Amino acid sequence: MIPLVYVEESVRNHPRTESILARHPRASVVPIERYGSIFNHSQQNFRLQKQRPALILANKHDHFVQPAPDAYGVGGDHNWYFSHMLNCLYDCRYCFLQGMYRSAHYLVFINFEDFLEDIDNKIEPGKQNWFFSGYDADSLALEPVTGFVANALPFFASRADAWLELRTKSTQVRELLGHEPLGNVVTAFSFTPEATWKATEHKVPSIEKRIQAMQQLAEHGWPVALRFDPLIEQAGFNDAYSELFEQIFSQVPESAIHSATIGPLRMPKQFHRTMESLYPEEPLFVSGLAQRNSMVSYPAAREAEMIDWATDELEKHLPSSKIFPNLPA
Amino acid sequence: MIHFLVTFDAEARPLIDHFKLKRQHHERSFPVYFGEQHALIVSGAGKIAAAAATAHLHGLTGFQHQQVWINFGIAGHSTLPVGDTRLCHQIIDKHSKQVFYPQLVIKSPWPSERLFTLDEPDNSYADESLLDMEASSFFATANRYATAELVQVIKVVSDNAEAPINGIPTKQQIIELLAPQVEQLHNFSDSLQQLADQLQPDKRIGAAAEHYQQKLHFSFSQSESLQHLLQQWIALDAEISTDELCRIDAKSSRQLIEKLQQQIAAAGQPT
Repeated sequence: MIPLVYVEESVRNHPRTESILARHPRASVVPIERYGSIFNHSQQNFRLQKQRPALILANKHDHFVQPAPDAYGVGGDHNWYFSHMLNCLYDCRYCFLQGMYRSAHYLVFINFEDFLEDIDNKIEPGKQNWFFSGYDADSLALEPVTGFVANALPFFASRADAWLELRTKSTQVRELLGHEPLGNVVTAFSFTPEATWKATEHKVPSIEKRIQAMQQLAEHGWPVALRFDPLIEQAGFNDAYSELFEQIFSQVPESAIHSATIGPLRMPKQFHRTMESLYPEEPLFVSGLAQRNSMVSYPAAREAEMIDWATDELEKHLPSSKIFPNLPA
Repeated sequence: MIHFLVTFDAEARPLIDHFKLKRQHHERSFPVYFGEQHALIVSGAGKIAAAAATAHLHGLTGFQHQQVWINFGIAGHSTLPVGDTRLCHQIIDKHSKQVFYPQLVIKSPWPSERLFTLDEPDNSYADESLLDMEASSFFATANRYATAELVQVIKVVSDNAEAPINGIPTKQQIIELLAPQVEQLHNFSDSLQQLADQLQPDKRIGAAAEHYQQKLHFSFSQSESLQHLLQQWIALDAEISTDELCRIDAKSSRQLIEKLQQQIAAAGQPT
């Protein structure tokens, strides 16, 4: 339950605000001038806020759609990302959001139409234009609160050159199941092996439940995808990932899978420092990581080894044309 | 340590009785009371007094950061019945227009409400909000010492438009208003303390660092590195004892840090 909703005065009377507030009748509503007076304000603690986040409803004014980082991509011509929401329902210990923001509150920009308009402006006809939505938040976990996907589906239904990736660890696929499947809307599920899920992905649904959600979508004709990004080091790394791949591919047909990406665990050193100071007891931040230039990651040789091995292993289940190892420069 | 700031002696009384606090008679600047886990200061009325008292108490309890701070007391409200209690989610300094947001991350027994801090009493009750004369400066000051999740303001309505304030309520009236809330305040402050505990460094780090610092000389940055490395070692071996952390033999602080780095690198490899 969301106990508190901060609402920017500029969106207080927006129908989407009214609708969200109506679904949280017991929450205290606090009017605010700008979301910056709460979100990322100094002298807050992400770790403590994460234990009971509030919801912030705000208006985004610019920079709706941004060029995606170099390593983001699944073979399209143009890659963009957008964040109609910042922060996540889940609490993955490796997540860079912990290092990036001082606030753990869920910030939702409710002017969805402005995002869609900017997406429209970025589409180059005749090209495959990808729009990634799960960069700063889980794309589906808070769908029952935000309703973003419900708004976006009709938009993408009429734009064949625009491809939407919904990246998620959730099982919130009801909105998609109630809609005619769209070939250009891909729901990409992130996974790590069982031991890593248990140790680091707090509040994330089990692997099996996520596979079931994938199955449901696939059965309804929706393209699904796999994201092994980041790969997390663990004892018995190879066996653990082999088992995970087996578990997935024994239940989800290869034909339903649009793509799989593999990426390393990397974060700016300042983010790593912040995350380690938030959770000093967390072994993940110490285990095998090293600083390279301004980034913290596994040592280069080990990182390449992990990605090469995982790529080879995935090729036992998927054609190489569907596998995208993302090793940033 | 849980720090309470109240404005009036009468607001302190239910807390003194409940937490069995003892007056610190040598303290002349403000009335101050200490218990084993609690400290209380009586600021007197107004923003300057509240800021000064908050800073004073911070010093008296050892300038510790990330501790719990609570401003508890009476306030006016235009419509809420006398005796109703509220946790403040927004504090607006009426004069400076500064706005503060205590972060509410634990379940509260009381609903939350906005509060205006005024420079002088106002009987107009124009705003549908709590009214006091201290909270904004209390929060602004305490939030320098503790994250906004640990600094809270709790007010009991003492007057409203139908029962306006005519001078300060009597001591007995204040005690009767606040005393019924103290049990819940106790539980609430304990929950805040549990949050604060999550931000305290592991005691083994301090003990082991002190052990090495008695034997070797460390520069400031070496001392920081030492503590960081001890913390990393504990992260990799949660059950490690302080004795084990102190077992490294080194001829210099530099050698110790190198050995700790090697130890952690070895321990951090997957097995």
